[in-house]
Amino acid sequence: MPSRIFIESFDCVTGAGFGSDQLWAALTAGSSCFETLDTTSWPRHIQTYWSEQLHRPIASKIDLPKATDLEGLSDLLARVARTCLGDRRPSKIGVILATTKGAIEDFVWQDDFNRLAVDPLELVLARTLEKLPAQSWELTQVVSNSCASSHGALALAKRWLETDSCDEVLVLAGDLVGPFIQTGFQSLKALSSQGCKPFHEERDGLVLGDAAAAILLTRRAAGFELVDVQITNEAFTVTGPTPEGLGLQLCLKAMKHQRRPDLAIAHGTGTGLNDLTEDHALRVAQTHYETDFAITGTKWCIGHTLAASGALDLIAALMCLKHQRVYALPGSEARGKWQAKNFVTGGARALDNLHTVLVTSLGFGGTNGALLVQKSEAR
Amino acid sequence: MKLSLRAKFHEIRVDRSITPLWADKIKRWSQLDDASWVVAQAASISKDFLTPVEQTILLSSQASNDADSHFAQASKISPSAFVHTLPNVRYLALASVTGHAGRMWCLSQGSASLVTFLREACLAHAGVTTLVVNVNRRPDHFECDFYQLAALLDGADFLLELRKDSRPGALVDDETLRRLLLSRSPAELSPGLMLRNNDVS
Repeated sequence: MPSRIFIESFDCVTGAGFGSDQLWAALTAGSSCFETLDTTSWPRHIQTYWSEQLHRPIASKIDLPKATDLEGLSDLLARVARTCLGDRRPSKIGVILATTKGAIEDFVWQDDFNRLAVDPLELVLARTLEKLPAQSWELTQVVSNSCASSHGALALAKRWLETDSCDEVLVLAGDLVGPFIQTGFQSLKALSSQGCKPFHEERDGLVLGDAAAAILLTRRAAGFELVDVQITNEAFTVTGPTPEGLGLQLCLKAMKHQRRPDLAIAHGTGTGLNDLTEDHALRVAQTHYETDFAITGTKWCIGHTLAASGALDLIAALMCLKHQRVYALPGSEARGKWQAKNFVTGGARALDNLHTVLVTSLGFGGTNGALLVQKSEAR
Repeated sequence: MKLSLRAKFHEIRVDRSITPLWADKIKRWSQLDDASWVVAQAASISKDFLTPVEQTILLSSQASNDADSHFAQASKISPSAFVHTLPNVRYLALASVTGHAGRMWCLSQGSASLVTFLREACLAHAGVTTLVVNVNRRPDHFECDFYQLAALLDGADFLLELRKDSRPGALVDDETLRRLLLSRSPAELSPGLMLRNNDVS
């Protein structure tokens, strides 16, 4: 029988501010944290590219005093890690970083980048650990499963705990969005010109966002329980999921511990393809669980935070469970026709007996993840 | 804790002047980046080796630096180049050629990615059949190696043994480990992680 996994502590930094309370305040106030980016320091050919686009880049940004992404991102990750760990020095602890591009912006514009023997992902974890008090880490790893990286990291953490390889696992997640990532998503015509409107008839794409998050998992009873987390790859196309959301459906079916969710924090990027696919998969899930659980998301507020998005959505789920409230998706007008039912609109409200939350992720390359989290009954 | 290991090594030069045998299995195959092209080619060569597994691990000491550089330095911004700047998309090439898809992690630990994962596998993945794909660019070719890991594998080339007093930290890097495997040389890969030949095979 696999051991139960609990969430002992968590913290985050987003465009909404430092700490999960700031994130919760923005979500419940219906405030999006987007700003138009200053591109004057971007490489010249990238500036030229953007000058030819129909809209300026917008994003949810964290104000970083550090000159490099390596220092800036590792500062943020070390900060949230310290919040989670406190003064304790666990003897058998592992750490996993979920990131898609790490410190790539520091290197990729250099002419000799190809000749540098550098791993911009692992470098961020190494630098983050240098900034934490001395600690022996039993296992360390970096997961780069595109936008489902957090689910991948949590699934790996669960494995480490269930096999007794670690007593605790600190899951870190972070990405900063600069000219490389902004321009790439713009080339795919995936970026919104107006702001992110998930599951909305007038959605026109995603908005990117900076974020760092930390979640401490343990086998000790704590306030929240990670019921299960599953990942899979549907291997359909590089950028597009199967129309029916097969990968998400497989994740849900693979859950060894089923609980009927009361709420879903959907991936909800606001792109045409993602929301259509996820709508279908969520309706299948509502049928599977025999309940029209409520559906909301975070990306209209803090943007798509790439590898960190699953961790941020999990933190949003924990805040919903903590406050027994749910926040709304923006724009109650013209939402369009969707198969899934019960999208939350019209502002934050109490959700009585909120006990279990489903959190979903989809990523490029066919990667998918789903998890169930609940208020703990074991404490 | 012990694991058995089978290995299949490939050294491949990308040749885009010919239509590969696997072309009909991957939509817009000509847009694959070099690393994905190499994974598809190696999978096609060693299809018999790639039996279904419970999980696949994608490794590269170089992340997606090649694809990143190609996208950033190109005179024209290309969406098909951008999609390959996520290293996990290489799995699509593998799954398309083999026809097997499922649970996959793309992991990164720099020049010790393979050594680090082998220790992790002994600790945490021992009961799970695992395929490890390690793809790296060398000066004039790519190395794309497949490793099967399981508690007990028929025809295993090597045994991995993790002592109870093992500690994290690589003693050899992935390039050195590859040479050790090719020469079938026993070694201590990280403190307490021993690589031995499986003489039974």
